[in-house]
Amino acid sequence: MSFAVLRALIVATWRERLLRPLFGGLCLVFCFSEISAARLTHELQDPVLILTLLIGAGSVGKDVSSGVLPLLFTRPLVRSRYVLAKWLAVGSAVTVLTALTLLGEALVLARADLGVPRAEVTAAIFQSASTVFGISSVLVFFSVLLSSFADALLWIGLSVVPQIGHRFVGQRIAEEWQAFLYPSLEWSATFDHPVAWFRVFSYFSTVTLCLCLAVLAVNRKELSYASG
Amino acid sequence: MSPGIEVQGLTKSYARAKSPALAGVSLEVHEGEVFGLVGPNGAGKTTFMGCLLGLLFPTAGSIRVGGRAPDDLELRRATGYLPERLQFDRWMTGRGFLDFHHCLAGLRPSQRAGEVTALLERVGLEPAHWQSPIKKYSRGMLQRLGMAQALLGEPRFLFLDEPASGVDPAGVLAFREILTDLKQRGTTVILNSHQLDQLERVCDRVAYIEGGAIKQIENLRQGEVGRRVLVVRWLATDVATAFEAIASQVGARALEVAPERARVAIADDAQAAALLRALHAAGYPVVEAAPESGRLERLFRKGEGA
Repeated sequence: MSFAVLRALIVATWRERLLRPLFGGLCLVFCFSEISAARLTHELQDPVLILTLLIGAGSVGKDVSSGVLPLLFTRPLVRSRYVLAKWLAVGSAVTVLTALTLLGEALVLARADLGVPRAEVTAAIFQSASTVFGISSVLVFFSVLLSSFADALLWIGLSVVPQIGHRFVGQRIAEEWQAFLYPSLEWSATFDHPVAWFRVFSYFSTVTLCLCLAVLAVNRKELSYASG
Repeated sequence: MSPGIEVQGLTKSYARAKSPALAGVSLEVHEGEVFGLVGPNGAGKTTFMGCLLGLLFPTAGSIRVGGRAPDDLELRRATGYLPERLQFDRWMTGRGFLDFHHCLAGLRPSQRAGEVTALLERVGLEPAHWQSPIKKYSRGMLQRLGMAQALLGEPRFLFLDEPASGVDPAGVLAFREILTDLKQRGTTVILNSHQLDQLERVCDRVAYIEGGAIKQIENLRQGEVGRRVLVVRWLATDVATAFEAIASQVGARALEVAPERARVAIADDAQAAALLRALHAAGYPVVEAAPESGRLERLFRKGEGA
């Protein structure tokens, strides 16, 4: 029964995210523009960041600002399952779109006799998926804290900080900051022998930390239609 | 009778508010009782409901609903809620919305289609609109859909915040029938409404809340005690005995006497009955006798100091 609830939440999030004419249209336009760009640059373009921000922005915050969430939480629904559903919904939707875009790019390059090795395409899809689920976990955490689409704005704002401030805070701190906001596993850097276990551990600890913080925050969240 | 809802010393303060939204509220609502909340805007009624539903965390005090904490998942399986400002996933269809909540409520998928159809019919939502997107629904249709979702799974505890707001007269009647039916089935209902006549018709007891505290609880199933005004109307005819004299015989006081009607101050229900008997015996062809305003209206006016 709990799996049915998780699935219902994921499907509802997919439909809500992808059936919005503006956002759905923007995603499609962006995917096709990336495929066209691959033809011009003769290499695979990574569409992860924009797609994750477009689809993942406001995953929880929108439910709070629109007033949908209090009603959901009067149901026998464990709040952590709601957070997990949002993360899985955003991550899976963007992963599928990204994989299709990368496959489209590979097809276009192959038809232009600029074929990309299959292993490279597979590695690109793997890296994209890890990045999508990584950024999604950060966005879900921010989204629990902030209403509407402010989570995406915060993410963009914080990701600019190390670009500007690395001279002041130091290169190492700037890199860690970036790693927190942009958790990702690059195939060759991680799985070429020997396996970079620190990278793997770092990635999964960041994702887990963000999701745990999101669950903690959502469990402490008060929701009401009262004006107080 | 075991208490359905027990509230002890409930206090709720918001972070930036000067005074608490609820200040030491204590209350017992019996299982199967329809309990009304009435009071001015900002009195704390919706905050009170939020605490009962486990959506708001009390600053102090305790709440037990059906013997469980408000955020208990088993309790939530037995709870229905219709918020005043219900917001929907507007991209969903009405039927899709109920299907979604049927799933979230943990009800049997095999019974989903039948139960959802029955509820849509019960709240009187036209079948032509079942598959329409919610964003095309009128206020009244949204309220009917909200009531349908609150009734999913035949809850033991039902929390209704202004259920008839924006609903047409047919909808008001339908909602009243639903409430009467729920009462007969033994559902415990907390009803917050500004529609005093609606509360008076369906509630067993009504609490007047103001400034975050319960000022008075009116038991509508007991005879009314306390001085109030009765308006009596009779057919124009020559009657020998003066109205004032009859009223004073039973201890009532005539405030205003016209050829075909009178306003009379009475102490309680028993005195009202005695007055009507005396008028009938004196040959007054009484055609109507009604309180000048409803019990809750008086309670509200008294509370507001009018």
